[in-house]
Amino acid sequence: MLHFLQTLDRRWIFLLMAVAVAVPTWAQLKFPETPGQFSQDVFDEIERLQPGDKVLMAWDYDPSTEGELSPMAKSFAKHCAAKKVKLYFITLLPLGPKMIEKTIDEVIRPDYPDRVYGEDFVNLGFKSGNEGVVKVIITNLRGLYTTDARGINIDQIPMCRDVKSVQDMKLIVNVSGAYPGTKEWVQYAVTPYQGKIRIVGGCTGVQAPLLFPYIPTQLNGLLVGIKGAAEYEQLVVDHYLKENPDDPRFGDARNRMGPQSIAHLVMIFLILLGNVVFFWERRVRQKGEAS
Amino acid sequence: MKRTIPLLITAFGGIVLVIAFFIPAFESWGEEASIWFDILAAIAFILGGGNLFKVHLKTISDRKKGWGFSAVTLTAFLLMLIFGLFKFGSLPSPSTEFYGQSLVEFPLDWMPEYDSPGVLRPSEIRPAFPASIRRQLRIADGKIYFRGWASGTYAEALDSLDDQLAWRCSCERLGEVAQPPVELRGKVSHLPDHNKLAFRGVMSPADEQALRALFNNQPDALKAIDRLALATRRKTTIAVTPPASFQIPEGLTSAVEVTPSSIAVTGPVSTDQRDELARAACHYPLAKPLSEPARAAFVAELEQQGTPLTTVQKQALDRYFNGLWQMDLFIQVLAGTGAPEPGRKTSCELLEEQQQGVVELVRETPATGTLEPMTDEQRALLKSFEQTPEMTAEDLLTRLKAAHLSGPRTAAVESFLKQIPTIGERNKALCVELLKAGALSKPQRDWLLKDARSQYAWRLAVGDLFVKAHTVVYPWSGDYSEGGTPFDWVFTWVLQPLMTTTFALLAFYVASAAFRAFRAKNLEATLLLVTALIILFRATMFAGAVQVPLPGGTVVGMDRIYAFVMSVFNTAGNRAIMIGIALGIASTSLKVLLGIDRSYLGSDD
Repeated sequence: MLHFLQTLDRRWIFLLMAVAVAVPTWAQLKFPETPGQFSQDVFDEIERLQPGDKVLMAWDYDPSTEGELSPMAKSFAKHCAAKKVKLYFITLLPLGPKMIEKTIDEVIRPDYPDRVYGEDFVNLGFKSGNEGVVKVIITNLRGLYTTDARGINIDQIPMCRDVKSVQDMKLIVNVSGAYPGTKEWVQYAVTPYQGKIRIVGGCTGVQAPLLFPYIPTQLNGLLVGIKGAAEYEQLVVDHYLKENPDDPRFGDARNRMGPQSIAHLVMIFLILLGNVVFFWERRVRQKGEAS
Repeated sequence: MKRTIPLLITAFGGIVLVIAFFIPAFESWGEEASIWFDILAAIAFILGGGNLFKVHLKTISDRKKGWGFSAVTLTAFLLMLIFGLFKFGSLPSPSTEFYGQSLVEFPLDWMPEYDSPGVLRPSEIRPAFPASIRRQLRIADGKIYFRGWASGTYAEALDSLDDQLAWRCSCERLGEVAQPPVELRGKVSHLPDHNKLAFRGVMSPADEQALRALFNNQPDALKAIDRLALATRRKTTIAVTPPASFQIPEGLTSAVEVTPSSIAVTGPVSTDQRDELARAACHYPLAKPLSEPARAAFVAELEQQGTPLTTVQKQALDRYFNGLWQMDLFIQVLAGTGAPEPGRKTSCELLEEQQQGVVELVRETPATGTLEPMTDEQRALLKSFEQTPEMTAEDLLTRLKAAHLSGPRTAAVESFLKQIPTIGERNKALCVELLKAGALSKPQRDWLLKDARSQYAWRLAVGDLFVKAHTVVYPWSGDYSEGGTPFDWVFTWVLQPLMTTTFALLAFYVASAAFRAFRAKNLEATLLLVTALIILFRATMFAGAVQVPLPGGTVVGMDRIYAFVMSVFNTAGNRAIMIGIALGIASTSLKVLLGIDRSYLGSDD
């Protein structure tokens, strides 16, 4: 048995992981979520906004992290649109514009057909320069953004006329896949103007440890991975989708918690099993040395 | 010199950014430096692309191991580049196409300049001229000069320069003067951003004469007007059989010609005109709420075409019919329409009041008049429209006009009628609902979709006419990533699945690595292991059910333990690393700025 475990072909582990993900996906395993404090903080921060407030929606993710981040992006958009705030979409990643379009097409256009482009929401698109972009627009938005993503002069967009810089925003909502992302927004936008600018974010699980040191002073709230997204989604559904709580568009995060939970349990099992093998090996070795 | 210049640029850029960060008065320096950085970053994309091309071409040329992958990379790169740059399949942007108007090149310099007395505050204490009017506005000798016609954002842009009534009154006066001749208002406009003169609809000889009179002594402008007149009179014809009920709308009788096998239009078609030709001009019968017997007859006729409807389908049908519009609700809304609204005084009126000594100036004037109640006759007519299947929308509007319905209310009724689905649209929506609830035979589907199909074919034909009658102004103005384009196809069906799959593969490798490497070999490894187990378990749905008892009788949930680990141990460790990195960056940056460290230039010292 020990020999079998010592020489276990890694393809068995791959197969086990595939089954752990596939079966709950197929069975649509879903449990109710109880929101934790971090998700509640993010929800409360957006809840404090008043109709007409300006919110910068910084969608810094691309297809590689879409599976983990798009559910929280949709919930953010739904929550902000329900609060009737003005949404300014922006991205620092070349593939980000597609993510913005998806959010607008899946949430704002179908659920809020009365919202007018240029008056209630605008897509400012992508600009290259990573944190360099943040550094400029924090004091001078028009220095870089002379048009929106469609090429419309920013002066002709009603909701942009009174925006001089990101400091005019009541809140920054950032969905961050990697670099550049929440860390750069915190370092180059929030920290130099602390007290003036507030930010909440959502990030992948692997990014989270790097962002926790900024909570709560520099980063006012953070959703971590699918778990954070599922908790926040539950809060949004409970408050703003009472009439249709099973709307499949706002169930992605909770649906993905099923496969994630089982996959994590498999990981825990594998770690424990690995340690059993380790201690077993050591005991056998010690016995051998003693004899 | 080859090294000195980049060294100086780096040192200068870095020092400027440091100064701008610490001294607020120099904040704009930082912006300028950062904008240059962003421009260089954009250029780096080109350099990066060039480098990628070079490296992979060399791999292919040398037939190195894996050259096939390089070939795939280069092909994909070129495909995306070509699709993105040339915007294959993307339609011109509607915001720059000016549908319904003909355009001709017409520089701003050819436009007349208008003036009005006015003084603006000195440039040091007022904002800069907004970009939208910067080329048109100048101030000199106590006068405001404005080139071209005031339109759209004119008033707002000028008002933003100064909030004094005297300035705003001068701008209002200038705005009244800077207009095309009365007979051309609403038809002609100048687009300074595009350097184009635009004309809406067909230019009549009288319009042309009035326009030429404005530019009498400018031969180039007159030639442009000739071209514009020709463009507005271009005739477009498509072969199609119009619906039997089609009638040319009143406002389009001079522009549209219809024969049994074609429709022709003179000049461009606006989006409103397109929609009118596609629907209202066809006088399709509108879907009205059905009474119980009428609903039963409808179901019987549908069942005659195939199988009987199931109970679930009948419920879906009832739900759909019950959700159709109700006239009583609309009458309630209409009763409140047309209430007099408060007026607004002009800046010149307010200035006059100020000069007369009024201290508290109020811009709004109270609403005058009262809301007339709707008459019983008007209400009865609206109700009879709902209850009488034969009564058409035109009948209703004619009778309401005879019953003296007010203008705003008539407009509201017209808008309401446009939103009512036609019978074809209703049957199509009903077909979808019934199919969701069960099966329908092909004859049943055909019977339900018959009208919708013919209406759709006509709408497509009108759309074709609309596109052909329009002269594209900016063919490359569309979005490169628009849905349905080759770029979008590659993104959606190649790039997105590949990126997602690559990222998802991590789960398999991490699982394998966890089994082999995550072992409690010593105290540090054990601490790491326990932390990992807490973080992993907390991200499952079962974490909420676990409560951990602590000494002293306290019980905490996994959420609290997770928060504690992340906020205390993780934050402490990360902060130490971050502070260390920050100190390292500060010292390295200083060495770079002072030219001590030149390794980034490729130097060994």
